[in-house]
Amino acid sequence: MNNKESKPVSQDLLREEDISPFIQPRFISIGWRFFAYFLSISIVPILVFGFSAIQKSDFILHNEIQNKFSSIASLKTSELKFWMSENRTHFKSILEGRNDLIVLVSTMMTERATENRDKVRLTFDVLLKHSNQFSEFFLIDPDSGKVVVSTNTLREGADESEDNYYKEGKNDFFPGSIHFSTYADENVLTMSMPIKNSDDELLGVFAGNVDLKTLYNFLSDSTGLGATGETYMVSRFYKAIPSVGLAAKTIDEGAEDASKIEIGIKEKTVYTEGVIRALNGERGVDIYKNYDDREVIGYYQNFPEFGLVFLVEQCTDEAFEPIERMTSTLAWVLFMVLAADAIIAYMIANSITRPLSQLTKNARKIRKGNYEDISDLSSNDEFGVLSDSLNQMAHSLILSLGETKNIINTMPSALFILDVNGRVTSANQSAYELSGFEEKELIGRVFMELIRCPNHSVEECKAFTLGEIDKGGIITDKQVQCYTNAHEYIPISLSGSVLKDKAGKSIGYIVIIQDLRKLKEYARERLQKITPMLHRISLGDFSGQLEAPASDDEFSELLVSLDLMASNLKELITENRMKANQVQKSKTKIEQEKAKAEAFLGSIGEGVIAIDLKGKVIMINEVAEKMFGKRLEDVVDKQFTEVYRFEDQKGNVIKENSFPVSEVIANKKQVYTITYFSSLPDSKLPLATTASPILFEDNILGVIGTFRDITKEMEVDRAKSEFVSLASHQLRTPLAGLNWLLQEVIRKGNLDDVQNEYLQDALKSNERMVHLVSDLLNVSRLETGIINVESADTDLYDMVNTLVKETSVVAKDKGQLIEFKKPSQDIHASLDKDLIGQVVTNLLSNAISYSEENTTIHVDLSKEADQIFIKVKDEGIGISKEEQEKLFTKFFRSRNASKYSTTGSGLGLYIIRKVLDVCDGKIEVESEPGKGTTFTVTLPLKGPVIKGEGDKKLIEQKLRSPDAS
Amino acid sequence: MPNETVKILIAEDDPFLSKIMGNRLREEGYEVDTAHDGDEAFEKIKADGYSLVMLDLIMPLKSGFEVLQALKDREDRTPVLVFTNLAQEEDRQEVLSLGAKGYYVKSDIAMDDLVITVRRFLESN
Repeated sequence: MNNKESKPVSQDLLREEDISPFIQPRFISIGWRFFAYFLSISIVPILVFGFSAIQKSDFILHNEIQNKFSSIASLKTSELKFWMSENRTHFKSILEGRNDLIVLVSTMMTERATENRDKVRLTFDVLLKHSNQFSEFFLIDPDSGKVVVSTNTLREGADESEDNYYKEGKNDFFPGSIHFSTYADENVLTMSMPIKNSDDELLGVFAGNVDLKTLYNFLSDSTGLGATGETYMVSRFYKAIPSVGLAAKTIDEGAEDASKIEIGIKEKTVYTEGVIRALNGERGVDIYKNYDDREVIGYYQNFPEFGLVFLVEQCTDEAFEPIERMTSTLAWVLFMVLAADAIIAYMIANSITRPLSQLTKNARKIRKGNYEDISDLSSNDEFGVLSDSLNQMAHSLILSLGETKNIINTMPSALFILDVNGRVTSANQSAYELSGFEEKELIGRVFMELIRCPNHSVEECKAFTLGEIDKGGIITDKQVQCYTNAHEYIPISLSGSVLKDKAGKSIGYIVIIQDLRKLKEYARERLQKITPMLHRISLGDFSGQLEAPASDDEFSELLVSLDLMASNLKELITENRMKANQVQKSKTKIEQEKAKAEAFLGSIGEGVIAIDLKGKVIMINEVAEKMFGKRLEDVVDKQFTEVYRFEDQKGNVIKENSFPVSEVIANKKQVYTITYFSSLPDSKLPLATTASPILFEDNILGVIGTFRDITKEMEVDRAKSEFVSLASHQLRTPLAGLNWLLQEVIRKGNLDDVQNEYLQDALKSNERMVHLVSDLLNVSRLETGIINVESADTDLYDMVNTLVKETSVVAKDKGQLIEFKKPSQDIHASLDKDLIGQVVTNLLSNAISYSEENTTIHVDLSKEADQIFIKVKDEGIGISKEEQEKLFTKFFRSRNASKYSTTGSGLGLYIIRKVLDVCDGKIEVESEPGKGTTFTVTLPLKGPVIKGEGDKKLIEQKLRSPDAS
Repeated sequence: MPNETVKILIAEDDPFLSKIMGNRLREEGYEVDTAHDGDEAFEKIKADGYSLVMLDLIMPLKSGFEVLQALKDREDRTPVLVFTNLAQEEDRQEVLSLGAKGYYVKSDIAMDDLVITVRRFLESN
């Protein structure tokens, strides 16, 4: 009881803290969406730009470094080259013009005079003083390879025979061999050349050690090459590898003391990529591993004139360090830009969604039931409008909630809201009244303390009430007792249900209790009134009026509804009975009609299928069931073309759109055709098919198709056709013989005039016989088989004009003229040119035959509305009124004609009429004996297309030669 | 004048027609051979080279249609003109589709026209 009022209560009495989390599980704020959106649209270009910038600067820097390195190396190289050339030129020029020295050496070498050696040494000393690039000059005995004289006397007697500068120097100027000198304990660069006398005899090898200080100085100069920069030379004699290397290498940067500079890698074999390339004559800058297996950027160049290669190298770690620095800087910048972007995106999103979030806050407040504390959002955009509506809504809610509260408070049943622990959190006015407790006494109390189940323990009682609610969610009308403030237990009815939040989580109970003492009194009183009434209704008596309800409780409502129901039922029953009677009557009538129609259709010997405009089968008769092997219930309401498979003569399945159905619907006209139904794979049932519209008050409702099995007819037809064809052949054969025999006799000549004339007559008679056979064959075809009619668009003037020209040749023999004027308009029609042509030819042929010589035949072509008229008018013998009626019958010949000409078969006009019947045309005649005849052929603009069995056509009529009269 | 090597086969079961056609064509200077049924005609065409075969359609043992079909199957290109009394359009179409070079209805063609037709045909070949 009172359930209808309890629903809104639950909403009202919910407190804010009872309802947990309001945020929907998948709630994502629009602000964050905007933020993500702005961020994502700006982040892509930034990233693309940033990465491309890094890549590009990397590339540029790389090039820059290589160029710089290359230019430093070039500078060094050119310095070296200059220094070397200086030395070389100088060394080469030392002995120039010193004949005195050569004489001295010559005598010394030949006479072995020791004093000469001192003189030579003296001269060498002098030379050395003037050449400060050199540290020593010495002379080697060409035979023994031993030093004979040297500015360094310690060196004299040393064996240099294994040295290249000695071997090479014997022959020619030798640019220099760098090697470690044991006696000087240092690296030396020795140049050598032969000394020869005026007779070109080899006196000795003159050699000089270059002072390498300068060389060391700039080899060790690492300006611009950083800490790992290194410059060194590798010598070679020929293109031989391995090479002996000499290098100047700084140990630590900024070392000024030359002694701290470690000179050279003593006789170290150097195979680096740069050396190999340089020895192969290449020159360039590249990255490769140096002799210490470290990756370097190196410059290499070959100096063949000095027998040296020169290399400048720097570790890539150092050389390309700026690139790394640059990349990391750029990455930092990129990161900063991204961070700034995120902040900007957040600010933009925030500025857009601030009003929205305000709105959301308001909405949440409303959801929590807080309607009063709604802040107004005074903005002039969509949000302002939204906010306004929200506030209004809240306002009206406040109003209606007030009402709801009233209702709850005034409802007669007691209502308690309990928390999950069963404590009372809220109650209505009736609850206070029923229990007799005040608000402060009731709120917070354990509800079960108030309830007692007679004969049960407290635990059992709890299980019986709240426990049941926990299990089933709802309980109704539990008869228990309630403790009141008056220290007594009153009988109550307890109903209750679980209170749930949005997420379906249990947050407490709603309990409604009613004082059963009052309720029982009410019930007894009311039931006494209702019982006799229910009794009456159950007996079908709806007449009795109920007493007017005395009170406003549920019982009175029940009574009123019951009364209303009773009277409604009464009306309904009466009405239904009447209707049922009517329906029964008309049903019987319809069924009778239907039975009649069905009996009628069933007794038709042909298969009948009716379909509606959508192509669905409405009904079929028994014959159709048997013919197509499908029962009515299997096909009704199904698509016609899906249920039945019809084929045309060539075995193609007839599709819906090509079946005559659509034509019938379009033209509301009957269509006749022959279709084939294959019941078995090999057998086809030929069916004469007529599709007719089902018309009702000029509206087309569907199409009815009748199908007649024409297997037998077709067999008979074929047999007949074959017979006629063969018969005409058999008749023609002797006629042809006779024809030729007569012609041959006439040709051979030697006949008198009478003989000749008789034979000519015999020929003509024979020819007539041939025509007769042709006509008979045509008649037979027209009457039995179905002639093919193939209508196609035809220019009628062209057609008639051609025929007129053809027949004019024959007419000319009789001195006749055929007059045909071109009509003013173009006349086109769809017709069978062959058939209509034959009709016109026959008419022309007749006109020629039955007219006097030197007369005119008029041919006229015209069009009126949707009809075409072809008139053939002659000035011939004419036909009498009585005979005109029989003119188009078989074998009829008018008396006039028979007298006039003997060749007619009496079939020509009959054939014409038959042909025009097939072509939807007609022929009329107007004639006056002695004056002439006019035949008028009327044709439709659109002739039919009829496909018959096989390719049946008429035999072309030969133009008859005019009678000699 | 026709060449002496020109040889014509008349395949015609009717003795009168065969005789009159043969006589006239011989008179015109052609060498003429005759066959009186379809089998004979087919065997003779196979064995001998004819400049022209004048073929009837309705014949015993093998019809003219069958002879034409047999020649077509053998890819024999001996020119054939059909002279028949089957006067229907469908017969004409069938005969031409079987490879005959012409179709004439005997009862409709005059002997003089027949001779002219044969001569023209031979000249054009």
